[in-house]
Amino acid sequence: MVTLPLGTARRRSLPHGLVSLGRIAAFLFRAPPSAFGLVVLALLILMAAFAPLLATHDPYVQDLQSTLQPPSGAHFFGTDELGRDIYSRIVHGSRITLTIIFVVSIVVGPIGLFIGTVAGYYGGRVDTVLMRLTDIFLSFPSLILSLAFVAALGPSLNNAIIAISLTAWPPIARLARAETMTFRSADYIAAARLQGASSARIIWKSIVPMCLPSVLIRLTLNMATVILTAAGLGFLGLGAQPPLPEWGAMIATGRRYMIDSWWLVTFPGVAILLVSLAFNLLGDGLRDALDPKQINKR
Amino acid sequence: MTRDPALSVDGLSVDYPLSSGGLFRRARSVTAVSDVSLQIAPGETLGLVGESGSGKTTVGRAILRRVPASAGRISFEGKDITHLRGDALRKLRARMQLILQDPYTSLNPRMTVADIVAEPLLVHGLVASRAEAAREVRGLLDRVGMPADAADRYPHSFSGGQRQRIGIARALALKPSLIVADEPVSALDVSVRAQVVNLMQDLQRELGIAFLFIAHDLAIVRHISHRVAIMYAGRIVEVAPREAIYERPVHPYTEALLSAVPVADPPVQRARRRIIHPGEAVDIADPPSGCRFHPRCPIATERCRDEVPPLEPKAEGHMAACWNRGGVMGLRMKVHS
Repeated sequence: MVTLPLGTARRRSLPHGLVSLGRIAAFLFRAPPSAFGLVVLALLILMAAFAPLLATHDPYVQDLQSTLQPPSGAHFFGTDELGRDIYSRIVHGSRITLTIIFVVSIVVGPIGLFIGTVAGYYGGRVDTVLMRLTDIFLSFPSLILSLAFVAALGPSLNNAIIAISLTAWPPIARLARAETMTFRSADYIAAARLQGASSARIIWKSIVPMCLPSVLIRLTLNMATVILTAAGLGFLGLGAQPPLPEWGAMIATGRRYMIDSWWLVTFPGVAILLVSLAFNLLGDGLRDALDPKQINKR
Repeated sequence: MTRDPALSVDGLSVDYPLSSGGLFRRARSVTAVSDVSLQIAPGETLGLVGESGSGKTTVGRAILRRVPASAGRISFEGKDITHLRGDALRKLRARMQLILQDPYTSLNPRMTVADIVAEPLLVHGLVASRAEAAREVRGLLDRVGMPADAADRYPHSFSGGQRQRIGIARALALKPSLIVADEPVSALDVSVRAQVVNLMQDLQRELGIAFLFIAHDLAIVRHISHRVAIMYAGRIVEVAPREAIYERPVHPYTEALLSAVPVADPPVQRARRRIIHPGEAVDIADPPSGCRFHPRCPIATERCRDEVPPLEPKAEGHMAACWNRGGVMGLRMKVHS
């Protein structure tokens, strides 16, 4: 009885969002796979933040006297055909990868949520129009559609981000719609409507928070695809343009020397593999952590 | 009833579509409620009783404008609200509130109790600041007998009875003059039913709220209602003050319904005779002609088969829809008035 008021007082001193974030992180660390995902992503973020400090060389400076050097003490991952340090390029490339992930999530999440919840809440004709639109986007393989967009917009990193965003929202919209339809007829939504709440308010205050966990999980799982699509576009020469140390583009240029100098493609490939694997594992962990049935246990 | 009624329903009918019409098909619909009229005075509780499928919930929904009325008129505080739309409808909703049946699904599991109760205040812009909202919420929770620390917790940490109290606090937030309570206690344990019902009565005394209390539990209806209306197959068959309907039921259906309530006294219960009318419950998609109770009624006559009996006065404040009961008294009443 004495500890109870103390506990509630301590809980109240922290903002609510921080407390639940801490709890989710603690939950994720309990399972090894999601802990691995979390650690890799934390390392990625640190790497991007401190790239100039971690890099041993300038990623753009060419050294034509030491091209295609195998990994050694001077060049941890070797050098490429222009003598640039691959380790430093991978470290700097993490910034590009993070930018892509960040921008795509920020664009895709809200678009998908908006279209999905509106379609699910209103139903009828609104639903039909929005969902057929979604179906059109879904009926193309995302890489092909991105290719088409980039071809139309011109090859560059920014256009690649736009193209990926335009192709990544439909699954989110579908998911949000399905979630919305299960909540739409709930009693508490009816109660909110009878209190005079507008549709916009109900969608924003009641339905979006309910859809958010599954959308977050889906976004996280999608990140692996986004990274691979970005790398694929880079590989095809339609993403980040040459001097930029984008991982996919690095593989593309290294392809010609692959037989003799394995390190040109292996290290960027491992980086892509690790990050997309980390996102997949984290997404799986988040699914368990954000499961409404688990909320009571936490 | 000398004052204007808080709510007055006149000849209300509600149709539910069964299938939408196609190119070669006519749309089919079922009439869930037909020609229902009732009044509720300010600060009065009208109990609305009927078996499952009798249309009592639909009446409540039509009054709250959750389903459209296909005929009839609903007036609230002297204003016709049958076809209100948009902003006017939102304003109206501040004056008419609802208590739902299931306290486990009627509260948003991701909102704190404070947010749930403050929601209507914020929607209608009745509070200027968060501090004011918090003060209001504390007052409301106190009013329904919830501890002040309940505000920061989530609905899952409360029992059914406590949740229903939160639901009541939410309904009270807008200071409504009418609350439609759709079976507010039937999902609760018997032990907490009385608490919730007594709370509703106390609130009514303090705040002068009119209640439409929809239920099938006759004992609770008798406890809380001032007047009781009995529905059968989408029509009101009898309306009377509480004591009159329980002591001197007029309609044969009411008699049968009341005889089904057990009495908590074994010898008396054993000595009682249950009135059981043969026949099936009515299929409202295909109701019988005339009086809808006639296929099961022991005193039905030819007339009951052909003509719908009107709801007419049988005694002081006592209305029933039956051709064969209290006709003389009804005549006398008419002469007197």
